[in-house]
Amino acid sequence: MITAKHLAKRFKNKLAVDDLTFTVETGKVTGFLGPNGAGKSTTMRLMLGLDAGRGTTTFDGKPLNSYAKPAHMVGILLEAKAFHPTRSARNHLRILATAGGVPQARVDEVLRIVGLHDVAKAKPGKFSLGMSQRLGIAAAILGKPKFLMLDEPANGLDPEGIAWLRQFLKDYADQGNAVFVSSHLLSEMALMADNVVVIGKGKLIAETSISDLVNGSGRSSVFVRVTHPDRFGASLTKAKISFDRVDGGFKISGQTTDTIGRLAFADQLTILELANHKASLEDAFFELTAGTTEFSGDGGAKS
Amino acid sequence: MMRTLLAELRKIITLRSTYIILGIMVALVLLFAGFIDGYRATAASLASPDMLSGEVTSAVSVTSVLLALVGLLLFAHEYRYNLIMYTLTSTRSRSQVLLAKILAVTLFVVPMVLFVSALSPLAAYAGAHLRGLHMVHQTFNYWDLLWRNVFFAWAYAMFALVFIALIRNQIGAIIVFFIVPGTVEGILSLLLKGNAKYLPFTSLASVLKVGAPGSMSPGHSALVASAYLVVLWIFTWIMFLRRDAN
Repeated sequence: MITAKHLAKRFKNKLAVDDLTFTVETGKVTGFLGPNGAGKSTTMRLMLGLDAGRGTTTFDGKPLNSYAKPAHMVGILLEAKAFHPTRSARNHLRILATAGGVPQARVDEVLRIVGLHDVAKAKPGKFSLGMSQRLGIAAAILGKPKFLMLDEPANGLDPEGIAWLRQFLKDYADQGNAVFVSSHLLSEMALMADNVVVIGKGKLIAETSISDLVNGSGRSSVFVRVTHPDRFGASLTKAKISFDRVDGGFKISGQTTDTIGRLAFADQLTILELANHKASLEDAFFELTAGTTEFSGDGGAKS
Repeated sequence: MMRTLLAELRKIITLRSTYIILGIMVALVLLFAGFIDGYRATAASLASPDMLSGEVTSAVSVTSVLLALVGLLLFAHEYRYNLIMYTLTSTRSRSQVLLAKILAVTLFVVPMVLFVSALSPLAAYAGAHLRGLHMVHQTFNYWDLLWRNVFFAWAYAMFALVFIALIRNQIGAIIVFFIVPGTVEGILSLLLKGNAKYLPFTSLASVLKVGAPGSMSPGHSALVASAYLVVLWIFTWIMFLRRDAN
């Protein structure tokens, strides 16, 4: 388990990370969400000791630098293009393997895993963003680490690459490892992550499971259409259930289809339509981070 | 520590720029020592018993800049290509990383200086021989030449490493690396006059120039340059431990 406690980082007048405390469980993929400028990358750098700041991060109870071979504990991908453009992909990984105390044979193994074996001798300066991400993932898994920390690993990957990454990370976590991954692709995160840590303006907003986050969202609702809407409206009011009249029916938040169905049955109404509108992760994210977005456009495409 | 050191050495030998710089170094030695000072040697130089030892010193003074550049680029690429995040998370302490870089550059520079020290007199001798010129019997004070040349090149590389470790920007560090020894110290020399010999690169240059008027002995010059390096490295070390890795 990764435990981050009271992480804080200030850049001159701006508090980039503000007393963040959360955990990343083993055996699960934990998504790290937040608007642009929320402090996700800075938090990851703080956790790894790359940036100077306050707070502590432990990996299975101990700081990273207390392990003799840190590369066997944590694998990182913080930037896709973190390689020398004229040093071959294989040599890049060989250097990391040497520094991390990883057998050189593992280099070709990880190149095969990420699908870059055929371009092992190529200069990565000419790699596409997707290929660069794959090289970064190869570097991250080189030491077979127990913890993976990946910042936007899906950026630039094609649909097949994203599907591969999703399955790979889920399998990696299933082997008893912890995967901590930030991404702006919320739909992808919904498919990939078990838990999420949501931050905004450097502060913790939520730390929960994806299902709890989505189910708890105010944007989840039940839609119902019945034969006598006015009678049903009165029943809802009497039961102190708030609703909106939309499309000839009722949109009701905070209730289940079971409750609404029983209420209609009690009124001896015929249900014409009853549907559960579950909020998406995107809905829940927007709801949680409302007011914490630092950079946003005016919403119009015209200028 | 050994893993980190081996990784640093691997970084040096897997870079194209290392071989380009070494190629330029060999070409310069062959041009200046072999062609200009050997093939086109003057009668006066051929009559000097110190001709070949002078070749060694001249070659080392020029090639040290190139060797220092290799060390500078080793560190500069960490920041330019964000490799520093891998470097720092692969080892237990930042001090180890810094020490490994110093050792790796030392292990690269020293053999290269020895190579240049052997190549330059051979090139000059071969150049002269090709044209049928004969030089007088040459004398070499081997140990004196050895320590002065090795120290000069090593200290030059260490200054370059200090610049990049503090500036953390490749272009900025290269500019400072080329401006400080000549331009900055040149201007300061005008102000300091006789005391200019205590400036870092001026004192370092005196390690190679024996008997220049007003300069210190090579031993004293080396001590002054070493003192600068010790102070600068302590400062660099503290900054490297405290600053963000970017």
